[in-house]
Amino acid sequence: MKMPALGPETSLRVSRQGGFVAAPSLARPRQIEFSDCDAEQRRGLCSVVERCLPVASKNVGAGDQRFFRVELHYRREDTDAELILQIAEDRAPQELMQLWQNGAIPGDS
Amino acid sequence: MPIHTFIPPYILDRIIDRGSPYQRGCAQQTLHHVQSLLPNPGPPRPTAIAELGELRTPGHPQRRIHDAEQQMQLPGTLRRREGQPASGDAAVDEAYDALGATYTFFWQVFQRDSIDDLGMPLIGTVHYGQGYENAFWNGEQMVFGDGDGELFQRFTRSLDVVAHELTHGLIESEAGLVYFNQPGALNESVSDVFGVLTKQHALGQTAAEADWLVGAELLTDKVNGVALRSMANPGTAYDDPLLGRDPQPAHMRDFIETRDDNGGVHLNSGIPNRAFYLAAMALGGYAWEQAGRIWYATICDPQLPNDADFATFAGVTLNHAAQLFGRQSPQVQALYEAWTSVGVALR
Repeated sequence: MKMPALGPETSLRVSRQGGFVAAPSLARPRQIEFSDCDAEQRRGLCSVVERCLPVASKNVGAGDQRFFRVELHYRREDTDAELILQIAEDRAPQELMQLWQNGAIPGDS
Repeated sequence: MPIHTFIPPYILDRIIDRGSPYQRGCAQQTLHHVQSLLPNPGPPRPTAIAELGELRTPGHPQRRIHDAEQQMQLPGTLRRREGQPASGDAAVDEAYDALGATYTFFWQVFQRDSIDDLGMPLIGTVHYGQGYENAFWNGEQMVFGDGDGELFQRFTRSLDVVAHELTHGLIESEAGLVYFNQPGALNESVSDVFGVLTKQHALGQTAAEADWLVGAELLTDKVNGVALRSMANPGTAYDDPLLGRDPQPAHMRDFIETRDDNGGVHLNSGIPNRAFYLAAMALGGYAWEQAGRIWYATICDPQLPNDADFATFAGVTLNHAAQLFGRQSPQVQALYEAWTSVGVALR
């Protein structure tokens, strides 16, 4: 899987899903609009997604295991497009956990 | 092999043919995803338990409880093995006792020797992670967090939760229901069913005496709720400012179509959960003796496809009720009424 070219109309949504509890409030989705970010922050967000690519899997969550869902909504050749990644909790990069938990963007001072 | 999902394949195909580019993409992805899940992953992996392979003691469990010491490395340090006295650590001893009660339930009621019916050792890890608010089955063993202390207490407190996780392993050994959309919701529901049946068996409760709650012992006093799920009344277990409101539907008219949580596997499980509850209540007595027997025969039936939807599963429960109790039996009638009551149309 390759990283698509992302323009300023891109939005990124990260949520934690699954698990025995699976209560709606525990997903704590975090949505970030690229239009609200400067160039450095956008690069930081792209680096988080790139780190997720090699550990993403379609088959996550079985047996109440939790996982992160990363959704990129973007424009490609004047049409809406999306990239969805699912990452098992025990394989999630630290940068993704921090982005979901605190909104921390790598390289953002 | 036919594909049974909430959106039937012919509709997905139609969307792919005629929908907008966005809709086409989503439908194509869903179809690919369902197809990728169909191969059964097979019975639980024996990797971590190979060393125990020779220890088969039918009628007696082989338990091993480990301590992750707030780390997330499995299985962690061994704290208590079969036959050893209580460790003094509440989570270790609760896991040991609950796995023992679950083994006893399956052995005494169904003559089943552990998760795989081949005496598979029961491996549990407690104190997993920091404030970890979850319990799960990872294909080899069961894992329990201590909870955050604010909303959730340690997950070993509820016998039905421990039994629920063990049942996930049993399902992998038998029906292998794929963890997506309706078969995923059935996977969750069957785990809830045998979770509560284990608790009822341990307490000697009839269907009428039981509370039919899942995870009643997990919530702290700060949470406005009685449990994490209610099989009797899905959608009513909690309504809390922090936790939100129990989102489970109790009827097909309220079925939740979502891409989250693998197609809402923990949400739509409320529908077959209530069907089981209604059948068990109609039949009376100990729920494991009639409704439980039918569900167990269903989940062990090689004819049950691993992508079964609610209607397919319901049909197989009716077949087994007829085989076990007779075509004109009250059991068949009770099941028919239970599935119809929750809006599952029988084929």
